[in-house]
Amino acid sequence: MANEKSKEKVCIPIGPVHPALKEPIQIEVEIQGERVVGTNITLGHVHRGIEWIGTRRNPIQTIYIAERICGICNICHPLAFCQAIENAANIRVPERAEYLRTIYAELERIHSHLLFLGVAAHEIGFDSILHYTWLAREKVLDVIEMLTGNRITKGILMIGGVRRDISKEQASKIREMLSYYEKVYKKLSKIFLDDITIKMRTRDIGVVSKKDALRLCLVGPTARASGIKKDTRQDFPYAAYGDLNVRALTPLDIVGEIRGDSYDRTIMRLIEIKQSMELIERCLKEMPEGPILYEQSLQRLLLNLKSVSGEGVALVEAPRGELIHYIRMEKNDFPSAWKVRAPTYANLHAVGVILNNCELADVPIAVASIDPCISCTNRAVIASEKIVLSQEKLHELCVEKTRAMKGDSL
Amino acid sequence: MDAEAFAERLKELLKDKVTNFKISTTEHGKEKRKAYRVWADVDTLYIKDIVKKLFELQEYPHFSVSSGYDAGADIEILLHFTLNYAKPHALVVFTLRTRLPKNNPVIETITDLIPGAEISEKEKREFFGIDVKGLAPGNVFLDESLAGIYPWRKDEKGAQKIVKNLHESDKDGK
Repeated sequence: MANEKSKEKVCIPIGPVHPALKEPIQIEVEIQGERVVGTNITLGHVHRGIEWIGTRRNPIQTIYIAERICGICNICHPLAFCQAIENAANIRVPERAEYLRTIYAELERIHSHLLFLGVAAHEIGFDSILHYTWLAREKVLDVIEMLTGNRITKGILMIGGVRRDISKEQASKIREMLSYYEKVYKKLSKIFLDDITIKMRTRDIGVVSKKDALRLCLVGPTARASGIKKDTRQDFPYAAYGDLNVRALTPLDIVGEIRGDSYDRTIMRLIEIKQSMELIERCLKEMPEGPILYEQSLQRLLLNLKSVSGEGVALVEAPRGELIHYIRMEKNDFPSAWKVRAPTYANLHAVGVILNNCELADVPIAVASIDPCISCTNRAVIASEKIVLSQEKLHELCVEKTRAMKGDSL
Repeated sequence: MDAEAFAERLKELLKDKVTNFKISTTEHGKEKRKAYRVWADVDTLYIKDIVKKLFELQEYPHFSVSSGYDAGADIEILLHFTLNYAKPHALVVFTLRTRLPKNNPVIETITDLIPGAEISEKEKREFFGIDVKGLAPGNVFLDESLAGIYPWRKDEKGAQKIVKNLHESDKDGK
C-alpha cells in the first residue's frame, strides 16, 4: 500500500506567489514520492503591458517606464532602452558618459549579486548569511543614492548620455566602498567556498549540462555556470566595456571545475562581485574628461527624435544575463514598437532541466539558483484537498534537509 | 573570426534567400570598438531554411527573442539572434524580419531546431494571434479568458477593449 502511494504522481503548484520566488510565476511541479518528474511554467500574472505603455509615451518619458520594469535592474533596462534609441537615431554617446554608464551598471551588479547570495543562503536555512550579505548590500545602495539621489529608481540615464557626473569627492567615496567590499569578499569567499553547509545543499543539485544550456539559449551567470563563456560585456563592445577587455568567468576560474549545478550558479555571483569591483576601479582611473550628454536641451533632443525613422537593437549584460531591447521609430512623438527581453525570460527554459529528478526539499534553492527576478508573499500551496503545503512548510522542508545533512556529516 | 568577417560570411551564406541585407556598426569607448548589427528580410517560407543555415556557421546559434509589429495589413515578426558569441568583441546581433498577412498569419515553429525559442513563440501567438505550426499548446503569458484579444495588434482585435483609463474615472469623480 505504502509502495503504491509512493508511486502516485502529485502535482504541486508553486506560486504564482511564493517565498522561493521573487516575482509572480507559477511552476507546477509534478512529484512522485519525493522526486520531481515534471514541471510546467505559467507567467504573466503581473504582465503590466510595459511595452504597450512605452509606445504611448515619448522616448524620454519611456526611460522612466523602462526603469520600472524591474526593482533591481533599473540601470540595465533604461540603459538598453537608451542604447536602442541611440542606435535608431545614430546618436554617439560621449566617452565619459560611456564610462559613467559602466560604473552605474557595475554598481547595480554588485547589489544584485549580494541580494542573490542572501536569498540563496536563506533558501537553505543559513539566515545569518542572508543578514550579512544584505547588510553589506546597504553600502552599495548608499553609494548609489549618493551618486543618483535614489537607491532604487535612479533616474540617471538619458538618451545620449547620463544626467549627472561623478565628482572627485564622490569618486573617493566609491573607492572607500571598494575597500569595504574587499573585506566583505574575503569573508564571503570563506563562507561560500569553504563552509560545508552551502556545498552539501547545492552541489550536484539541479545540474544543467553545457549542451542543454546551449540548446535552451540560457544567458548570464546561469549559462556561464555550465561552462559557456558568453558575456555581453566581453562579446559586444557597448558602453566602455570594449576598452576594459572584460573576460567571461566560469566556475573553472575559482573552483577549478565546472559541474553546472546550483553551487556553480551560486558562486558565479560571488566571483562576479569581485570582477565588478575591478571594473569600477578601472573606470574611475581611466575615465576621460569631457561632456556627459550628446544634447543638453531636452526640447531639442525630443525634436530630433521626432524626426527619426529607423530601428535599433541594443544588448546589455544585466546581472542575470543578456538583456535585449528592440525599438522602432517612425517620425512620430512615440516609438512605434518596443520589445524587451529580460534574462529571466530566457533562463526560465532551464527550470524543467534543473528540477528534473530533484527532491522536493531542493526545489526552492534549485529554482533560486538561476536568480529569477521574482517577488515573495505569503501564500498556501494546495496540492489536493488532503495535502496543503504552506510556504512555511516548504521552507521548513528545505531547512530540515540542511540540518539532517549537517547532522549526518558531523 | 572577428565580427566583421562573421557578418560577411553571414551575407555570403544567406544571399540567395534574403533581401535588404544590411550591416550596421556603432562605435564605443575610447578605443572606438565597433559593435556589429546585421539586418535582413526573408520570405516566411524560408525562415526555417535560414535558421538551419545558421547552424553551418555556429554549432548552437543563440536565439535571443522575437519581436513583432502590427504594420496594418501585415504583422512583422523579427527574430533576433546573437551569433559568434563567447569571443571578445566578436558578437554579431542578427535580426531576421518576415511579414505575415493578417488574414492568414501562419509561421512554422523553430523550436525543433532551437528549443530555447518556445516562450518567445508562444508570446507571439498570444499577443498577435499568430498560428505557429508545430509549437506545443498552452499559454505562457495571457489567461485563456482573453482569447480573441491580441494586445500588440493595433486593429479591432487589440487591447483597447481591456484598457482601463483610470485617469478618466478620476476626472469624472467616479
